[in-house]
Amino acid sequence: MKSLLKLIILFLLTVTFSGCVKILTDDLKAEKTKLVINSVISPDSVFTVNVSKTANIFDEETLDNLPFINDAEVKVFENGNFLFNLDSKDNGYYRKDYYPLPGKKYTVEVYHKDFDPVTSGAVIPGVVKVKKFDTISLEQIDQYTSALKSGFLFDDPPGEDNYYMLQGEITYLDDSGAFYNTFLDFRVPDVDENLYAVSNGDKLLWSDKLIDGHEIKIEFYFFDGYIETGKMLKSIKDGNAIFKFYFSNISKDYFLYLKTERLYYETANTDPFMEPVIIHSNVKNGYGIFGAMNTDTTNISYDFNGKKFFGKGGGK
Amino acid sequence: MKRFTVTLVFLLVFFTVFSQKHTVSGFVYDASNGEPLLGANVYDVNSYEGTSTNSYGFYSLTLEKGKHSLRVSYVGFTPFDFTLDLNKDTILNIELKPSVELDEVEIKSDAITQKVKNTQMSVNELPMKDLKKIPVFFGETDIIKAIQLMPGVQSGSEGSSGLYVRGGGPDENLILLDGVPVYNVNHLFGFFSVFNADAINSVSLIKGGFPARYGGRLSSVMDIRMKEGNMKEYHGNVSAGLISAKAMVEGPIKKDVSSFIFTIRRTYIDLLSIPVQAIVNRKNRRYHEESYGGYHFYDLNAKINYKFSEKNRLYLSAYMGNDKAYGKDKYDFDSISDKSKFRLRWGNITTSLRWNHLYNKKLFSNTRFSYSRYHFLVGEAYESTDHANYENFAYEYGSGIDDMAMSTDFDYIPVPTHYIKFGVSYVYHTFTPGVSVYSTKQISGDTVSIDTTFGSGKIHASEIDAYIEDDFSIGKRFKMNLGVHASGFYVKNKFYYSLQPRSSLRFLITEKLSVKASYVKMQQYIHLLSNSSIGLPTDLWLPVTDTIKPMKSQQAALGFMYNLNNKFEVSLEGYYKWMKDLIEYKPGASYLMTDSGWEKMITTGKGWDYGTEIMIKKTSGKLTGWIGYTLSWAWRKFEEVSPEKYPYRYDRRNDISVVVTYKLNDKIDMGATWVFGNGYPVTLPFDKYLALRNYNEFLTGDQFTWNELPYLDNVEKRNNYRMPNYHRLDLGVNFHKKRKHGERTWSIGIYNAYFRQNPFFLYIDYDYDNYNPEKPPKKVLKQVSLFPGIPYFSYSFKW
Repeated sequence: MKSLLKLIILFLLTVTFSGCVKILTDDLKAEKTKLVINSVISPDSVFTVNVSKTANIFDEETLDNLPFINDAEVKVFENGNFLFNLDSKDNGYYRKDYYPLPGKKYTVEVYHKDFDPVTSGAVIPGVVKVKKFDTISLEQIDQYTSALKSGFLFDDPPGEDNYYMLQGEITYLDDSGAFYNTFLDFRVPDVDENLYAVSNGDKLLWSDKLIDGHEIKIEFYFFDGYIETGKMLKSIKDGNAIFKFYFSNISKDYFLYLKTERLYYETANTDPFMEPVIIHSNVKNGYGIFGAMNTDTTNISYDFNGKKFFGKGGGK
Repeated sequence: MKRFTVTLVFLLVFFTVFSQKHTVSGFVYDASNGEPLLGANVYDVNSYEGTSTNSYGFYSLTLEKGKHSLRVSYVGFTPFDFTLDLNKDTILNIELKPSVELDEVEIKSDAITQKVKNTQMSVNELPMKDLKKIPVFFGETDIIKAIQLMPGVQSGSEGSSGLYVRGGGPDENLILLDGVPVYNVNHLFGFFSVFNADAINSVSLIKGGFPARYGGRLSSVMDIRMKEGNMKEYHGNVSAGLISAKAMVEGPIKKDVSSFIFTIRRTYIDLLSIPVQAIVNRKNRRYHEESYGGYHFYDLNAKINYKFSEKNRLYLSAYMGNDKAYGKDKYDFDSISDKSKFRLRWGNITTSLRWNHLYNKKLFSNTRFSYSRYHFLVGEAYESTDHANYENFAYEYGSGIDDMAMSTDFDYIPVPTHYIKFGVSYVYHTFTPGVSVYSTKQISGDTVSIDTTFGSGKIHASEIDAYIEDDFSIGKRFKMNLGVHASGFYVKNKFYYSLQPRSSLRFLITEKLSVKASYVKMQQYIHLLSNSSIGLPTDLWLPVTDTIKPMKSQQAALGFMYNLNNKFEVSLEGYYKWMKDLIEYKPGASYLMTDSGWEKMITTGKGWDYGTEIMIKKTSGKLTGWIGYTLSWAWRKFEEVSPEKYPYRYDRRNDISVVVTYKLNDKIDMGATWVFGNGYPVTLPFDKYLALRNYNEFLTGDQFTWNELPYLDNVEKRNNYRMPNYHRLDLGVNFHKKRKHGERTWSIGIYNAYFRQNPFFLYIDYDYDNYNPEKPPKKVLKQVSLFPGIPYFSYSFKW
């Protein structure tokens, strides 16, 4: 009986539930290698496009194996009229000392002898200004975490689909006298399903889908890890911090790209049964993103008095 | 609709009042155990006018006044022929005796002929008698796995009890156990179904041409009827296999008046592992550690029925089953202790009280009160003491659905050319879409204590259904089943309703060949949210809401049914199904995110499935079985998932099943099954490209100084890669021997006899060269396979 029992246990453990893993292939091939465009144009920056190519999923990712294309022809059109060719720089960068204009549609066409040509376009949206920044306060956002809460007001232009992005930067002085500069790590209130925090929380994204043409107040949280003991909070309390907020009206494609990219990084390698995220692209015959944005930048410093934290609002 | 009803009433009155006819009615029983026979044929051998018994064995046949030669037949039973002088309405209960094998050819030819003549198409009936000859997984006879061998039915992933019928999802199947919906049919993560074959009397799967009496699901109805229990004498069966044991006992409470049946089944993997765990823990005690874990499932079926009179009969049936996995860890040494435990539990309960009443010789009713419940719970707890510091943490997540229902159904058979069914039902649903309970306590200087519940609260909904259908003949060749199913669903102050026409047509080309066509419209008010390809108990049942509309489908089918030499049943069918308002998780969403509201995680889309099914079946003689072939396409389009249409997760172009059973003699029978299917589609990245991670880094070019570049794995579209083809051969032999008090059977066999490594899932991973550690790892596509050849054996004894 004992030997039978052992036999059964051995059987169950070794044979019955043994799954096996085998290598199916190391040769998954896409139909063809394609060009990739990465660019976000803005009236505040010179016209810049990065061109690279797709790599096989099994290719090693090393600096010796960079996918940049440095010998492509990159043509730029403004409202359908040829404007110029971009000049090639290192690492796949193509630039021209030209600042794109709001309201104009820019199209890029990239040609290379080894690849199908790719094209993409975007319209630079108009700037939307911040009306007023809110006060700042320290709030408990969950059992262990406090965060600084603030917000701002703006008027959404009526009758058009708008997509927005907020980024924030803080420059502060610590006890040793050193200055630090870091992007704010945003947190979004759970109740607001139209607000997305992306790219490790350094961007806030939202659309005016449900709030078109209204005065909109966006509330947000940001913090420095365990903020109550953090250097950032201390410097804010001591009046040694300056914030810079970048409020951008962005193109729809750029919004969708950032949104799907956020999902991609959140879900990658988390569940073998989960369906992978398809990253949004507006590049015809290729991949990547050709986005556009127009940014209103606000410098702001908050005053803190005693245990209560009050801020003074302000626009640009 | 109004005109149709008026015409119907007129016809009924005409036939009833103006013709000199009388009715013979009653029940048909199995003489050996007193159980009613479902679908037995009662007909006049000269005129071929006839009928079939309903789900409770009742028949009613109205014929011209005078002498009639009648025959009552049923597969596996000796036909009963008699002459009846019909001068008045007559009640006649008939008992059929189980046949000896030689009679079977003729009887089964009758059965094939009946299938040729039925209006119902797209139906597969499971031959319960041959079920035990089919090789089985882990020695456990499983009706769902047998149904998966039918054309038009996909099984989902390796070994699972999933049902994907004509491209539909697992939530689109109405699975009824004695008329009560069962919401989760999976034991052991889907590797076994919850139905114990010993308790089952009949199984039929309808894939299209749904009669009006069924509603609430888009793709199929699986009607499972439990045995009633032997009315004549006590019988039983015990068996033990590799991982489970089961027992069944049945018999009369009062002979020919009342009977019962009771079955129980339990796995014993956990019990077998206890000695191993004890040995391991004895060794680990020196490290002050202990660990225990286990898994088991059990299920119980019970049924009692009582015949108050020839006109009244009561049935009380119940099913209860649970799966439980658990584990405990403990560390305890020198004022420091850590304890953790987890548990995972899911299961169904269904109960049903039914009352059969015969109002008169032509009107039969069944009234039912039922309850169905499916609940899932996962929990973990942790407790830590470090000298004066204490901390504990507990988390539980639960979800489920509870239904309370009542219904009444009528069968009205005014004349042999009309069989009318009508009825109403009401269901009160309670959904628990996902509730988390979280508590923690810390004592270390400052005491912190939290005890909170969050997640989606209960949702209550009411569903009401009504239907009427008439199965009627027009001349000898035409027969139709026309009906309508009306339904309404009320949830959160929102009311949805629908009127669903159902129609089936049969045209008899010859006595042995018929062509059939059907068109049906279906609507479904509850959804199953599932983001895995295996039958995880975490899948959530959810109702429609303000924003999530009912799923809808339309299906048209055309087919032929042919009786080949009275031995083979040959069917050929084509179908096209349109579906809309289907639901799917948004990319990247997961059931674990339900705390923030499940409605935000899903998106709606549409689908269309089409294909052809061929089946050649032999049900008589020593050699029986079938060959099934399906050629099909299943497409989905969800704008938020992919801008283009893409193949459904269980789109399988070619699917073949070959099932053969052979009875060598009374002592030995054997079976073999071979299945082949093209690989399911999965989503894989073929290439990758650089991301635009950060605008500022982009402007300066800083990102490309990183050692690791920000690559995005590129998926051009959903389900862009086919897994390798699936094929498998199973073999089994049963050895029977008569003993003094009964018969014992040894069953041995092997699942996946040629050790095919079939794909379970694929993933991209690194391959390391163990013999050359210096060599950098290489990225490859890996395949996980389960069950590479599993022998089984079981022992059973019946008396």
